[in-house]
Amino acid sequence: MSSEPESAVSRAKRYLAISGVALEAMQVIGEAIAGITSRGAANQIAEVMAVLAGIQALAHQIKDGMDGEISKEEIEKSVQELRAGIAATNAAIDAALEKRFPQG
Amino acid sequence: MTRTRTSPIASYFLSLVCFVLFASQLGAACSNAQRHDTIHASLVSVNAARDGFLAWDRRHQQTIIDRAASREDAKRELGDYRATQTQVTEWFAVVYQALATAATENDEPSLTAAVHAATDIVGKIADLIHLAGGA
Repeated sequence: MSSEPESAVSRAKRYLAISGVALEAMQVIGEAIAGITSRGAANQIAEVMAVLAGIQALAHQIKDGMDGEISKEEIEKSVQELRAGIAATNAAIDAALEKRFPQG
Repeated sequence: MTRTRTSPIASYFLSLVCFVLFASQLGAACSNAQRHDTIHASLVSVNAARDGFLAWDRRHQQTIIDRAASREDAKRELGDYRATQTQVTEWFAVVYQALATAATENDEPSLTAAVHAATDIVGKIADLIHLAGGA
């Protein structure tokens, strides 16, 4: 046994690549293709793009971020990003509401 | 067990649950490096859950507007949903607080609490999306 024990990060990456994201991504793509071809739903395409972007972002975060230090500021920034994202969404939705159902 | 068709976003959250459950195993034997890896993996997972929720949140609210019969209906349903949205925001705030505590402390309970909180919120978001009928 000359090899060193596999690090936790390596195991996490391997697990994610093999049994996590990869399988789920295949399922996502398969379901999306089925949905698109059977129903022709444009929103299925947008949804799949969003999910694939999310998976890609997750992979990048793991690849680039796991080796860095975790700071309290980084965690607080995550909360701020959530609140900013929700505020932006609500503003966009309120605008969409006004467009669909104009007041007066 | 029969397998039901799930939405892509629900599938995405399922993969996150798998990852967080795995990350929780990393914390069992706890050197400082393993502790760091566990917290970081949990943070990455929670951030991914956050991003997935944000993507679904926008689609869900747009769907409410698209399906509403009137302005009043849309406003009422959006108001009801945004109470849930506020609750979800607080869930995330609690989890991030737990992760911040685990990142600044060096004890087992804070790590266990953070990993459990991370696992819990990913499951809760997946359930929320599932109960709302997917994406």
